[in-house]
Amino acid sequence: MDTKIEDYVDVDERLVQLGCKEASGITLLPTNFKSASKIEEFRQEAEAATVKTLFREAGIPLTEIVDREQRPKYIQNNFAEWVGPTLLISSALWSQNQYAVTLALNIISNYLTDLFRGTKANNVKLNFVIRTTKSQTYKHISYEGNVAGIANLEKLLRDVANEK
Amino acid sequence: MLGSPIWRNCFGMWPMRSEIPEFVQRFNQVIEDCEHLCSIARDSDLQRDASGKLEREIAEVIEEKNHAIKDGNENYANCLLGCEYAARAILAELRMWLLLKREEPEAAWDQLINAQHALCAAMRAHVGFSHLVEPLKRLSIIEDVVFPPQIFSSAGLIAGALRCSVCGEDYEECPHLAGKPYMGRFCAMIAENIELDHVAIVDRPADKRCRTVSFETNGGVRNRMTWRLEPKVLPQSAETEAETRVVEGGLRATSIIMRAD
Repeated sequence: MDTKIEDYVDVDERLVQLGCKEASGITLLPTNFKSASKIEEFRQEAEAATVKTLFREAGIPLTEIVDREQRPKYIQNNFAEWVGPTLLISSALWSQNQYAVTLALNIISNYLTDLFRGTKANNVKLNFVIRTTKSQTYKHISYEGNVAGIANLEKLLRDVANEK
Repeated sequence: MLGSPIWRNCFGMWPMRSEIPEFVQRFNQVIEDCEHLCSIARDSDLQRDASGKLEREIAEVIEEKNHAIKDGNENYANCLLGCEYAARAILAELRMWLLLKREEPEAAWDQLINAQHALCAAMRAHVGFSHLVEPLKRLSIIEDVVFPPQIFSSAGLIAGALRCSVCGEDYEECPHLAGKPYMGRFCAMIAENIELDHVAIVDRPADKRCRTVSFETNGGVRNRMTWRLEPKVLPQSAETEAETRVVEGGLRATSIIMRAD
Protein backbone atom coordinates (compact mmCIF):
# COMPACT_ATOMS: atom_id res chain seq x y z
CA MET A 1 0.00 0.00 0.00
CA ASP A 2 1.36 3.38 -0.98
CA THR A 3 -0.16 6.76 -0.13
CA LYS A 4 1.27 10.16 -0.98
CA ILE A 5 0.08 13.50 0.37
CA GLU A 6 0.91 16.69 -1.52
CA ASP A 7 -0.25 20.29 -1.65
CA TYR A 8 -2.83 20.99 -4.34
CA VAL A 9 -3.98 24.07 -6.22
CA ASP A 10 -6.77 26.26 -4.85
CA VAL A 11 -9.73 24.38 -6.33
CA ASP A 12 -12.22 27.27 -5.87
CA GLU A 13 -9.91 29.61 -7.75
CA ARG A 14 -9.41 27.09 -10.59
CA LEU A 15 -13.15 26.48 -10.87
CA VAL A 16 -13.76 30.20 -11.33
CA GLN A 17 -10.81 30.57 -13.77
CA LEU A 18 -12.09 27.74 -15.95
CA GLY A 19 -15.75 28.76 -15.76
CA CYS A 20 -16.87 25.61 -13.91
CA LYS A 21 -19.75 25.22 -11.50
CA GLU A 22 -19.28 25.33 -7.73
CA ALA A 23 -18.27 22.09 -6.01
CA SER A 24 -19.78 20.82 -2.77
CA GLY A 25 -20.01 17.51 -0.91
CA ILE A 26 -18.28 14.95 -3.13
CA THR A 27 -17.26 15.90 -6.66
CA LEU A 28 -15.28 14.01 -9.29
CA LEU A 29 -12.48 16.17 -10.61
CA PRO A 30 -11.07 15.69 -14.11
CA THR A 31 -7.67 13.96 -14.09
CA ASN A 32 -5.99 17.05 -15.58
CA PHE A 33 -7.87 19.62 -13.50
CA LYS A 34 -4.60 21.26 -12.43
CA SER A 35 -3.15 21.64 -15.91
CA ALA A 36 -6.10 22.08 -18.30
CA SER A 37 -6.42 25.55 -19.74
CA LYS A 38 -10.10 25.23 -20.63
CA ILE A 39 -13.04 22.90 -19.95
CA GLU A 40 -12.76 21.28 -23.41
CA GLU A 41 -9.34 19.94 -22.44
CA PHE A 42 -10.67 18.07 -19.40
CA ARG A 43 -10.13 14.31 -19.32
CA GLN A 44 -11.54 11.79 -16.86
CA GLU A 45 -10.75 8.16 -16.14
CA ALA A 46 -13.30 5.81 -17.74
CA GLU A 47 -13.95 4.39 -14.27
CA ALA A 48 -15.27 7.78 -13.18
CA ALA A 49 -18.46 6.76 -15.00
CA THR A 50 -18.62 3.56 -12.92
CA VAL A 51 -18.12 5.51 -9.69
CA LYS A 52 -20.92 7.91 -10.66
CA THR A 53 -23.29 4.96 -11.12
CA LEU A 54 -22.17 3.35 -7.84
CA PHE A 55 -22.83 6.60 -5.93
CA ARG A 56 -26.11 7.33 -7.70
CA GLU A 57 -27.45 3.82 -6.97
CA ALA A 58 -26.36 4.15 -3.30
CA GLY A 59 -27.94 7.60 -2.95
CA ILE A 60 -24.64 9.42 -2.37
CA PRO A 61 -25.04 12.95 -3.74
CA LEU A 62 -22.40 13.95 -6.26
CA THR A 63 -21.96 17.44 -7.66
CA GLU A 64 -20.86 18.05 -11.24
CA ILE A 65 -18.57 20.96 -12.11
CA VAL A 66 -19.56 20.99 -15.80
CA ASP A 67 -22.82 20.57 -17.70
CA ARG A 68 -23.70 17.28 -19.41
CA GLU A 69 -22.77 18.62 -22.84
CA GLN A 70 -19.31 19.61 -21.53
CA ARG A 71 -18.64 16.17 -20.08
CA PRO A 72 -14.91 15.34 -20.34
CA LYS A 73 -13.64 12.64 -22.68
CA TYR A 74 -12.62 9.38 -21.07
CA ILE A 75 -9.11 7.97 -20.63
CA GLN A 76 -9.10 4.22 -21.12
CA ASN A 77 -5.86 2.51 -20.16
CA ASN A 78 -5.71 -1.22 -20.66
CA PHE A 79 -3.91 -2.01 -17.42
CA ALA A 80 -4.75 -4.92 -15.16
CA GLU A 81 -5.15 -2.45 -12.33
CA TRP A 82 -8.27 -0.38 -11.72
CA VAL A 83 -7.61 3.34 -12.07
CA GLY A 84 -10.30 5.32 -10.32
CA PRO A 85 -11.19 9.01 -10.52
CA THR A 86 -10.13 11.93 -8.34
CA LEU A 87 -12.66 12.54 -5.58
CA LEU A 88 -12.88 16.08 -4.23
CA ILE A 89 -14.24 16.11 -0.68
CA SER A 90 -15.42 19.42 0.74
CA SER A 91 -14.49 20.42 4.29
CA ALA A 92 -18.14 20.85 5.23
CA LEU A 93 -18.97 17.23 4.38
CA TRP A 94 -17.17 15.90 7.45
CA SER A 95 -19.58 17.73 9.75
CA GLN A 96 -22.72 17.65 7.58
CA ASN A 97 -22.65 13.93 6.79
CA GLN A 98 -19.94 12.15 8.74
CA TYR A 99 -20.72 8.76 7.16
CA ALA A 100 -20.70 9.88 3.51
CA VAL A 101 -16.96 9.28 2.98
CA THR A 102 -17.07 5.88 4.73
CA LEU A 103 -20.06 4.85 2.63
CA ALA A 104 -18.42 6.06 -0.60
CA LEU A 105 -15.23 4.09 0.13
CA ASN A 106 -17.17 0.96 1.11
CA ILE A 107 -19.20 1.05 -2.08
CA ILE A 108 -16.10 1.34 -4.26
CA SER A 109 -14.36 -1.39 -2.25
CA ASN A 110 -17.32 -3.82 -2.52
CA TYR A 111 -17.58 -3.30 -6.28
CA LEU A 112 -13.85 -3.96 -6.72
CA THR A 113 -13.93 -7.07 -4.52
CA ASP A 114 -16.47 -8.59 -6.92
CA LEU A 115 -14.62 -7.35 -10.00
CA PHE A 116 -11.28 -8.84 -8.95
CA ARG A 117 -12.67 -12.10 -7.59
CA GLY A 118 -10.03 -14.77 -8.00
CA THR A 119 -7.48 -12.64 -9.81
CA LYS A 120 -3.97 -11.90 -8.64
CA ALA A 121 -4.13 -8.42 -10.14
CA ASN A 122 -6.19 -6.45 -7.65
CA ASN A 123 -4.20 -3.28 -7.67
CA VAL A 124 -6.15 -0.05 -7.39
CA LYS A 125 -5.28 3.62 -7.93
CA LEU A 126 -7.49 6.27 -6.35
CA ASN A 127 -6.95 9.98 -5.87
CA PHE A 128 -8.52 12.40 -3.43
CA VAL A 129 -8.46 16.15 -3.04
CA ILE A 130 -9.37 17.31 0.46
CA ARG A 131 -10.07 20.80 1.73
CA THR A 132 -8.67 21.16 5.21
CA THR A 133 -11.11 22.37 7.85
CA LYS A 134 -8.88 24.94 9.59
CA SER A 135 -6.49 26.47 7.08
CA GLN A 136 -8.88 25.90 4.12
CA THR A 137 -6.05 24.71 1.86
CA TYR A 138 -6.23 21.80 -0.56
CA LYS A 139 -4.27 18.54 -0.27
CA HIS A 140 -3.93 15.80 -2.85
CA ILE A 141 -3.81 12.20 -1.58
CA SER A 142 -2.96 9.41 -3.98
CA TYR A 143 -3.52 5.77 -3.08
CA GLU A 144 -2.02 2.78 -4.82
CA GLY A 145 -2.55 -0.65 -3.32
CA ASN A 146 -4.94 -3.54 -3.00
CA VAL A 147 -8.71 -3.38 -2.57
CA ALA A 148 -8.52 -4.24 1.14
CA GLY A 149 -6.46 -1.08 1.77
CA ILE A 150 -9.34 1.20 0.70
CA ALA A 151 -11.04 0.59 4.06
CA ASN A 152 -8.10 2.25 5.86
CA LEU A 153 -8.32 5.43 3.82
CA GLU A 154 -11.20 7.03 5.72
CA LYS A 155 -9.03 7.73 8.79
CA LEU A 156 -6.21 9.08 6.67
CA LEU A 157 -8.54 11.40 4.75
CA ARG A 158 -10.16 12.61 7.96
CA ASP A 159 -6.74 13.25 9.56
CA VAL A 160 -5.61 15.25 6.53
CA ALA A 161 -8.86 17.25 6.61
CA ASN A 162 -8.36 17.96 10.31
CA GLU A 163 -4.64 18.71 9.75
CA LYS A 164 -3.55 16.08 12.30
CA MET B 1 -8.57 -28.84 -14.15
CA LEU B 2 -11.45 -27.44 -12.19
CA GLY B 3 -10.52 -29.54 -9.17
CA SER B 4 -13.95 -30.45 -7.87
CA PRO B 5 -17.25 -31.25 -9.51
CA ILE B 6 -18.83 -27.97 -10.51
CA TRP B 7 -22.26 -28.84 -9.10
CA ARG B 8 -20.88 -29.27 -5.57
CA ASN B 9 -20.19 -25.59 -5.14
CA CYS B 10 -21.76 -23.53 -7.84
CA PHE B 11 -25.36 -24.52 -7.54
CA GLY B 12 -25.85 -23.61 -3.91
CA MET B 13 -29.53 -22.99 -4.45
CA TRP B 14 -29.99 -26.76 -4.87
CA PRO B 15 -28.62 -28.21 -1.64
CA MET B 16 -29.46 -31.81 -2.59
CA ARG B 17 -27.89 -33.36 -5.65
CA SER B 18 -31.28 -34.74 -6.63
CA GLU B 19 -32.57 -31.15 -6.87
CA ILE B 20 -29.96 -30.13 -9.47
CA PRO B 21 -31.63 -29.72 -12.86
CA GLU B 22 -30.98 -32.60 -15.22
CA PHE B 23 -29.30 -30.23 -17.64
CA VAL B 24 -26.76 -29.17 -15.05
CA GLN B 25 -26.06 -32.76 -13.92
CA ARG B 26 -25.28 -33.73 -17.49
CA PHE B 27 -23.13 -30.61 -17.97
CA ASN B 28 -21.10 -31.47 -14.87
CA GLN B 29 -20.47 -34.97 -16.19
CA VAL B 30 -19.16 -33.60 -19.51
CA ILE B 31 -16.89 -31.17 -17.65
CA GLU B 32 -15.56 -33.92 -15.39
CA ASP B 33 -14.80 -36.15 -18.39
CA CYS B 34 -13.02 -33.37 -20.29
CA GLU B 35 -10.96 -31.89 -17.47
CA HIS B 36 -9.19 -35.23 -16.99
CA LEU B 37 -7.59 -34.60 -20.38
CA CYS B 38 -6.03 -31.26 -19.40
CA SER B 39 -2.39 -32.38 -19.49
CA ILE B 40 0.36 -32.40 -22.11
CA ALA B 41 0.75 -36.18 -21.58
CA ARG B 42 -2.81 -37.01 -22.66
CA ASP B 43 -3.54 -38.42 -26.10
CA SER B 44 -4.13 -35.73 -28.75
CA ASP B 45 -7.02 -37.58 -30.41
CA LEU B 46 -8.83 -37.79 -27.07
CA GLN B 47 -8.16 -34.10 -26.48
CA ARG B 48 -9.55 -33.21 -29.94
CA ASP B 49 -12.68 -35.28 -29.25
CA ALA B 50 -13.11 -33.55 -25.90
CA SER B 51 -12.72 -30.14 -27.57
CA GLY B 52 -15.53 -30.99 -29.98
CA LYS B 53 -17.68 -32.21 -27.10
CA LEU B 54 -17.07 -28.95 -25.20
CA GLU B 55 -17.91 -26.82 -28.23
CA ARG B 56 -21.26 -28.62 -28.49
CA GLU B 57 -21.76 -28.30 -24.74
CA ILE B 58 -21.17 -24.54 -24.84
CA ALA B 59 -23.79 -24.22 -27.59
CA GLU B 60 -26.26 -26.16 -25.42
CA VAL B 61 -25.48 -24.05 -22.34
CA ILE B 62 -26.15 -20.90 -24.36
CA GLU B 63 -29.49 -22.35 -25.52
CA GLU B 64 -30.44 -23.26 -21.93
CA LYS B 65 -29.36 -19.80 -20.84
CA ASN B 66 -31.61 -18.22 -23.44
CA HIS B 67 -34.55 -20.17 -21.97
CA ALA B 68 -33.62 -18.90 -18.49
CA ILE B 69 -33.47 -15.33 -19.84
CA LYS B 70 -36.88 -15.80 -21.47
CA ASP B 71 -38.25 -17.03 -18.13
CA GLY B 72 -36.71 -14.04 -16.34
CA ASN B 73 -34.69 -16.36 -14.06
CA GLU B 74 -31.60 -14.19 -13.52
CA ASN B 75 -29.92 -16.43 -10.93
CA TYR B 76 -30.08 -19.46 -13.22
CA ALA B 77 -29.08 -17.37 -16.26
CA ASN B 78 -25.99 -16.11 -14.40
CA CYS B 79 -25.17 -19.64 -13.22
CA LEU B 80 -25.32 -20.80 -16.83
CA LEU B 81 -23.11 -17.86 -17.81
CA GLY B 82 -20.62 -19.26 -15.28
CA CYS B 83 -21.01 -22.76 -16.77
CA GLU B 84 -20.39 -21.36 -20.24
CA TYR B 85 -17.13 -19.72 -19.14
CA ALA B 86 -16.02 -22.73 -17.08
CA ALA B 87 -16.44 -24.87 -20.22
CA ARG B 88 -14.62 -22.25 -22.31
CA ALA B 89 -11.73 -22.37 -19.82
CA ILE B 90 -11.30 -26.14 -20.21
CA LEU B 91 -11.67 -25.88 -23.98
CA ALA B 92 -8.97 -23.20 -24.12
CA GLU B 93 -6.64 -25.26 -21.94
CA LEU B 94 -7.11 -28.36 -24.12
CA ARG B 95 -6.36 -26.24 -27.19
CA MET B 96 -3.26 -24.87 -25.47
CA TRP B 97 -1.84 -28.39 -24.89
CA LEU B 98 -2.69 -29.45 -28.46
CA LEU B 99 -1.00 -26.34 -29.89
CA LEU B 100 2.10 -26.87 -27.77
CA LYS B 101 2.38 -30.43 -29.05
CA ARG B 102 2.16 -29.01 -32.60
CA GLU B 103 4.99 -26.55 -31.79
CA GLU B 104 2.74 -23.51 -32.00
CA PRO B 105 3.60 -21.81 -28.71
CA GLU B 106 2.34 -18.36 -29.68
CA ALA B 107 -1.16 -19.62 -30.41
CA ALA B 108 -0.89 -21.79 -27.26
CA TRP B 109 -0.06 -18.69 -25.20
CA ASP B 110 -3.23 -16.98 -26.45
CA GLN B 111 -5.26 -20.02 -25.40
CA LEU B 112 -3.67 -19.98 -21.94
CA ILE B 113 -4.70 -16.34 -21.50
CA ASN B 114 -8.18 -17.16 -22.85
CA ALA B 115 -8.45 -19.92 -20.24
CA GLN B 116 -7.40 -17.53 -17.44
CA HIS B 117 -9.88 -14.88 -18.59
CA ALA B 118 -12.65 -17.49 -18.84
CA LEU B 119 -12.06 -18.70 -15.26
CA CYS B 120 -12.14 -15.11 -13.95
CA ALA B 121 -15.35 -14.52 -15.91
CA ALA B 122 -16.95 -17.67 -14.46
CA MET B 123 -16.10 -16.45 -10.95
CA ARG B 124 -17.66 -13.05 -11.66
CA ALA B 125 -20.72 -14.63 -13.23
CA HIS B 126 -21.99 -16.37 -10.11
CA VAL B 127 -20.80 -16.64 -6.53
CA GLY B 128 -20.93 -20.42 -6.75
CA PHE B 129 -17.87 -20.50 -8.98
CA SER B 130 -15.55 -18.94 -6.39
CA HIS B 131 -13.76 -22.30 -5.96
CA LEU B 132 -12.24 -21.77 -9.43
CA VAL B 133 -9.53 -19.72 -7.75
CA GLU B 134 -7.59 -23.00 -7.42
CA PRO B 135 -7.55 -23.93 -11.14
CA LEU B 136 -6.67 -20.28 -11.83
CA LYS B 137 -3.58 -20.65 -9.64
CA ARG B 138 -2.70 -23.77 -11.61
CA LEU B 139 -2.89 -21.83 -14.90
CA SER B 140 -0.70 -19.14 -13.36
CA ILE B 141 1.91 -21.80 -12.58
CA ILE B 142 1.68 -23.10 -16.18
CA GLU B 143 2.25 -19.52 -17.38
CA ASP B 144 5.42 -19.23 -15.31
CA VAL B 145 6.82 -22.72 -15.88
CA VAL B 146 5.86 -23.65 -19.44
CA PHE B 147 6.26 -20.29 -21.19
CA PRO B 148 9.20 -17.87 -21.23
CA PRO B 149 8.82 -14.38 -19.67
CA GLN B 150 6.99 -11.92 -21.92
CA ILE B 151 7.05 -8.16 -22.46
CA PHE B 152 3.53 -6.75 -22.37
CA SER B 153 2.08 -3.69 -24.03
CA SER B 154 -0.97 -1.61 -23.35
CA ALA B 155 -2.75 0.95 -25.51
CA GLY B 156 -4.09 4.11 -23.87
CA LEU B 157 -7.21 5.42 -25.57
CA ILE B 158 -9.29 8.56 -25.39
CA ALA B 159 -12.99 7.85 -25.83
CA GLY B 160 -15.54 10.51 -26.67
CA ALA B 161 -18.36 8.47 -25.14
CA LEU B 162 -19.00 5.20 -23.32
CA ARG B 163 -21.98 3.01 -24.11
CA CYS B 164 -23.35 0.19 -21.96
CA SER B 165 -23.22 -3.27 -23.57
CA VAL B 166 -26.32 -4.40 -21.66
CA CYS B 167 -28.86 -1.65 -22.37
CA GLY B 168 -27.11 0.29 -25.14
CA GLU B 169 -27.57 3.56 -23.23
CA ASP B 170 -24.97 6.10 -22.08
CA TYR B 171 -22.83 4.08 -19.63
CA GLU B 172 -22.54 7.03 -17.25
CA GLU B 173 -26.31 7.32 -16.92
CA CYS B 174 -27.53 3.71 -16.94
CA PRO B 175 -27.66 1.52 -13.78
CA HIS B 176 -25.34 -1.22 -15.04
CA LEU B 177 -21.75 -1.69 -13.84
CA ALA B 178 -18.86 -2.91 -15.98
CA GLY B 179 -17.79 -6.46 -15.15
CA LYS B 180 -21.05 -7.45 -13.41
CA PRO B 181 -23.42 -10.11 -14.77
CA TYR B 182 -26.95 -9.12 -15.73
CA MET B 183 -29.42 -11.79 -16.82
CA GLY B 184 -26.79 -14.10 -18.28
CA ARG B 185 -24.40 -11.56 -19.80
CA PHE B 186 -21.66 -9.26 -18.60
CA CYS B 187 -21.81 -5.51 -18.69
CA ALA B 188 -18.93 -3.86 -20.52
CA MET B 189 -18.14 -0.29 -21.47
CA ILE B 190 -18.13 0.17 -25.23
CA ALA B 191 -15.81 3.03 -26.07
CA GLU B 192 -16.95 5.28 -28.91
CA ASN B 193 -15.16 7.96 -30.95
CA ILE B 194 -11.81 6.51 -29.97
CA GLU B 195 -8.41 8.16 -30.45
CA LEU B 196 -5.16 6.37 -29.70
CA ASP B 197 -3.36 8.33 -26.99
CA HIS B 198 -0.25 6.26 -26.32
CA VAL B 199 1.25 2.79 -26.25
CA ALA B 200 3.15 1.67 -23.16
CA ILE B 201 5.22 -1.28 -22.05
CA VAL B 202 3.66 -2.46 -18.80
CA ASP B 203 4.19 -5.20 -16.23
CA ARG B 204 0.51 -5.86 -15.67
CA PRO B 205 -1.61 -5.45 -18.79
CA ALA B 206 -5.35 -6.05 -18.91
CA ASP B 207 -4.75 -8.53 -21.74
CA LYS B 208 -1.54 -10.58 -21.71
CA ARG B 209 -2.08 -11.46 -25.36
CA CYS B 210 -0.85 -7.91 -26.04
CA ARG B 211 2.89 -8.48 -26.03
CA THR B 212 6.10 -7.99 -27.96
CA VAL B 213 6.21 -10.81 -30.50
CA SER B 214 9.61 -10.16 -32.07
CA PHE B 215 12.54 -7.76 -32.18
CA GLU B 216 15.26 -7.04 -34.70
CA THR B 217 18.75 -8.21 -33.93
CA ASN B 218 21.95 -8.86 -35.85
CA GLY B 219 21.13 -11.20 -38.66
CA GLY B 220 17.37 -11.13 -38.50
CA VAL B 221 14.25 -10.95 -36.41
CA ARG B 222 14.18 -12.84 -33.10
CA ASN B 223 10.83 -14.38 -32.16
CA ARG B 224 10.37 -13.56 -28.49
CA MET B 225 8.41 -16.76 -27.79
CA THR B 226 10.33 -19.42 -29.74
CA TRP B 227 13.68 -17.53 -29.77
CA ARG B 228 13.96 -18.62 -33.39
CA LEU B 229 15.87 -16.21 -35.66
CA GLU B 230 13.87 -15.43 -38.76
CA PRO B 231 15.03 -13.48 -41.82
CA LYS B 232 14.27 -9.78 -41.86
CA VAL B 233 11.45 -8.95 -44.28
CA LEU B 234 12.42 -5.96 -46.38
CA PRO B 235 9.92 -3.12 -46.86
CA GLN B 236 7.78 -3.60 -49.96
CA SER B 237 7.72 0.01 -51.09
CA ALA B 238 9.10 3.46 -50.34
CA GLU B 239 5.83 4.26 -48.60
CA THR B 240 6.14 1.26 -46.26
CA GLU B 241 9.77 2.12 -45.63
CA ALA B 242 8.81 5.61 -44.51
CA GLU B 243 6.21 4.15 -42.16
CA THR B 244 8.67 1.75 -40.56
CA ARG B 245 11.71 4.03 -40.35
CA VAL B 246 13.29 4.07 -36.90
CA VAL B 247 15.81 6.26 -35.14
CA GLU B 248 19.43 5.17 -35.75
CA GLY B 249 20.49 2.75 -33.04
CA GLY B 250 16.93 2.21 -31.84
CA LEU B 251 15.50 -1.24 -31.23
CA ARG B 252 12.74 -2.15 -33.67
CA ALA B 253 10.21 -4.54 -32.22
CA THR B 254 6.81 -5.83 -33.28
CA SER B 255 4.10 -5.81 -30.64
CA ILE B 256 0.42 -6.59 -30.43
CA ILE B 257 -1.12 -3.55 -28.73
CA MET B 258 -4.80 -4.36 -28.86
CA ARG B 259 -7.08 -7.31 -29.61
CA ALA B 260 -10.39 -6.94 -31.38
CA ASP B 261 -12.19 -9.26 -28.93
